[in-house]
Amino acid sequence: MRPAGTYDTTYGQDMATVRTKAQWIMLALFLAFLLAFPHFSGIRWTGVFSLMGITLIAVFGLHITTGLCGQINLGQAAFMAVGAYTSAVLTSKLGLPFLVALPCAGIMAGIVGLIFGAPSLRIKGFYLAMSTLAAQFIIIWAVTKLFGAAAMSVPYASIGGFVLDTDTKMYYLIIALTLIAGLAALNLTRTRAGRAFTAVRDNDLAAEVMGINLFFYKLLAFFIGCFYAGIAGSLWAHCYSFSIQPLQFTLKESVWYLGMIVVGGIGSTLGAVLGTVSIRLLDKVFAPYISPLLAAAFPFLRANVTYAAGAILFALVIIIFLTKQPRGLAHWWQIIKTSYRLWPYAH
Amino acid sequence: MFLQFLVSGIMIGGIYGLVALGLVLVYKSSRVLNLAHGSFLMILAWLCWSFAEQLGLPIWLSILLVLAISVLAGLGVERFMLRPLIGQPILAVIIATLALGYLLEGVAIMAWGADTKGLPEFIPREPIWLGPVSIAQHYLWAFGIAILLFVLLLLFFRYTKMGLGMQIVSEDQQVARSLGIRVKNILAQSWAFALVIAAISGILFASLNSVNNGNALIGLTKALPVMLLGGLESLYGALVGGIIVGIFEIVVGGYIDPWVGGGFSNVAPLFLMLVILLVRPYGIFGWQRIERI
Amino acid sequence: MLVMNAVEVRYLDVILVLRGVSLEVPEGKIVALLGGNGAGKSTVLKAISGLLETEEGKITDGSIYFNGTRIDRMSPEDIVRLGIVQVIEGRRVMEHLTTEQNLRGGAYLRHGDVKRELDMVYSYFPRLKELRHATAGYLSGGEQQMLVMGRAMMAHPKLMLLDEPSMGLAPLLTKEIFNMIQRFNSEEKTAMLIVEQNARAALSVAEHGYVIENGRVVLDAPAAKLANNPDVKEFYLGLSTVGEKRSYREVKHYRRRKRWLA
Repeated sequence: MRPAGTYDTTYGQDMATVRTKAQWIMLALFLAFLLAFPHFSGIRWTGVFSLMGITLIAVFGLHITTGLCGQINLGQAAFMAVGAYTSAVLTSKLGLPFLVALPCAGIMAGIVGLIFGAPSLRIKGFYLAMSTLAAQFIIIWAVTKLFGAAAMSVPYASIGGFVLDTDTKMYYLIIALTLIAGLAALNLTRTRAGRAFTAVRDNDLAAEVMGINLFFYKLLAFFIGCFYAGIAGSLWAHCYSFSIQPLQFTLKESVWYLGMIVVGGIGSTLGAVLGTVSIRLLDKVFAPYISPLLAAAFPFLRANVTYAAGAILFALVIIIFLTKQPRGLAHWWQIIKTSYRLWPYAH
Repeated sequence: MFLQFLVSGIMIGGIYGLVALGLVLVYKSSRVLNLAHGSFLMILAWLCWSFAEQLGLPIWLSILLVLAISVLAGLGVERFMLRPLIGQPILAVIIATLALGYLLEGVAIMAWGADTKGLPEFIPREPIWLGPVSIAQHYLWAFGIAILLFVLLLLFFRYTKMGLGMQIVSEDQQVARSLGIRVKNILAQSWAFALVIAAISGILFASLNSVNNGNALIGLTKALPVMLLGGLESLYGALVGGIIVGIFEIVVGGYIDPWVGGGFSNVAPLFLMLVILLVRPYGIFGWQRIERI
Repeated sequence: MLVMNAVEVRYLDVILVLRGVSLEVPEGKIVALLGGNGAGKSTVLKAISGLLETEEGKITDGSIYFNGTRIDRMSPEDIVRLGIVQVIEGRRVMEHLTTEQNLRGGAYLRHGDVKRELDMVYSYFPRLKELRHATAGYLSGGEQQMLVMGRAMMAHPKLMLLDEPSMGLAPLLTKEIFNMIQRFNSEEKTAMLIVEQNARAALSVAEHGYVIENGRVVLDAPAAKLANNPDVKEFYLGLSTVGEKRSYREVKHYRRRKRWLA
């Protein structure tokens, strides 16, 4: 549903993401808000936003693999682990600069993703999900074998001579990369590859009949998705967690990421953003308020209430969304926009 | 040495097959892969522990109560989670069952913490010796129960009307309704059956090792490879696949573990699963997709 | 026996498919329902058998009575228990089960031994007896059509709803199927409502016929009269200029408009 009065006279306008002046202004305001954010929020909120940025990058990757191309990937957290450990090893053991380690982390994760995505040629749907589930467990096992289960410390990232040692500096790096990743994911739908992905998702037999090389595009989707995960993992290692352990990349995290794209709306980039932001907020902001209440109300509950409450809340949210609003938050947003634009007529 | 591995593998394969049997049952009738099966078996074992240790009930009564609760749980899951999800893409169902699994784990942590406890003994501890090979009695019981359930289910599917109804529902729900089969009832029954099996396998597994939240993982890391090897819809396959996976895990683990410093046997079934997916995704006895043009 | 009164059906609450359809199936008779693609014929059958529920459809107006009982609010399982069985279009067999298991599925609601019913079906379709233990998914199209009809016969329905029984079948096989239909109707006294694109075959066995177009009944007459109706002949039986060479310069079918189009 377009805003009233917009029409296209060129192909560029037809494909544009930002159409009206009002939209440009809102975009500019949003960017200004992001830039100025660390200066007026506290350390805690900067940290929360950094975490959201990192998660967003991983979720964008998952959105490309699963939401756009329909290849179910239950192991995104494991691919993040690959990126995190690659980056950590390259910087601390081999002394390579962060600017080299970051893309290497992405590429390494992408390659591992290709290995586990290769069976996808012959199998579809949840057979592929099983393969990625196996990937999740096997990768974490391999990482534990190679690097031990204990935490591995990760040095600060440094670009040129500029060391990223405060939360604010890291925040800027993360936000910049998140914006680039998001823009890339959004634009992907407008490219030839993006259209091929959607065709493969909707009906792969018909896509093959039309001449789309299924194997190539499925692998490409996997590679890009895991590349994103690798980048997110590297950022996680250097800019958020400083000591990485296999425990941080379990099936639980993979399910969280899938939950985020589902709650946000599968197949929509905006959905990925909405889902991630809302679930992270739920986890970081609301759960700490609810768990003391629970602990007070049910004193026989153990001390693990915080962790458990987060898990239960998250799981409930996902189940409720799946059963009541399968098209996710993005759909709600569309309805809000449409009814606003069509007011006072019914949408 | 090899013989001991082989026999242990067969025995533990019995339990894996039993867990997979529950998964196959649900898949056979509703085409849903219940990824929360492991979490169910873990939490039902905890319930049994609660009844037996915290409330002090005799162990047989605890087991019976848990079985009754699992029937109710099965009916509840079908009614409140599965029905709204009918007709949605596979991804939605996968995520829903995974989320349910985490919900249950969260509840387990809240109620019982992250401890490890032991179930009261109801199976003697001394292993039985067959020549040079020793078998723990738990394994034998598990194996025996698995075979018994397997035979009962096989007879059920072949000779009873409800069994035929379940197969029809798994093929085509619309046709099933056009023949007068109450699909909702059939789905509810198969879930109830499946959770009863989960309870039994959970209690057996817990009495073999201990009651712990980590038990939930076997639903994914062991039962799924078994299901894929045997074929998603096949009861035979669950048992045969269970035995093969069990043997593979123990034998391969026994020989390779010393080289890699342990732990390989845990992921060995997953490697096997990847190989199966590459070579023969439908498994040994699974239904092939019959596509006509 | 079956009376439909001004039934209106919507899919997904917005797509209006049937706009006030009224028809009747007398006891023990065969009635044909003709019409082009998308006219709403299958929807009529699904409205009667209750299977609209499975396709997000709803009867929003009108009523359907079967032997005095109002059935348009009932669930499909209950309607089957009243004696109405629908043979869904497209030869929907249970692919991984055997022929005999498929047939037993058809007798799901019967208690006790179904040997008598099986023998009856095998007497109508001897080919199925040979294929008793074959996997249904691998049968040929004609055999599968026989299987789904046999499956419906197993339930001894009072009213059988057949949706496009000749779809995708060779002409000789179509003839065989319709012979079976006529035989079953005369021997077991089962009423039948047959939806067909193959108007000639349908009108050869039916006593009465309806023509549906765009969700409305546009013609309603005994079968013999329908077969001789010039509009039906031109638009459904393909007989506009019998015996003459068709000259495209005349383009008659554009000039003769269907009388029932408003």
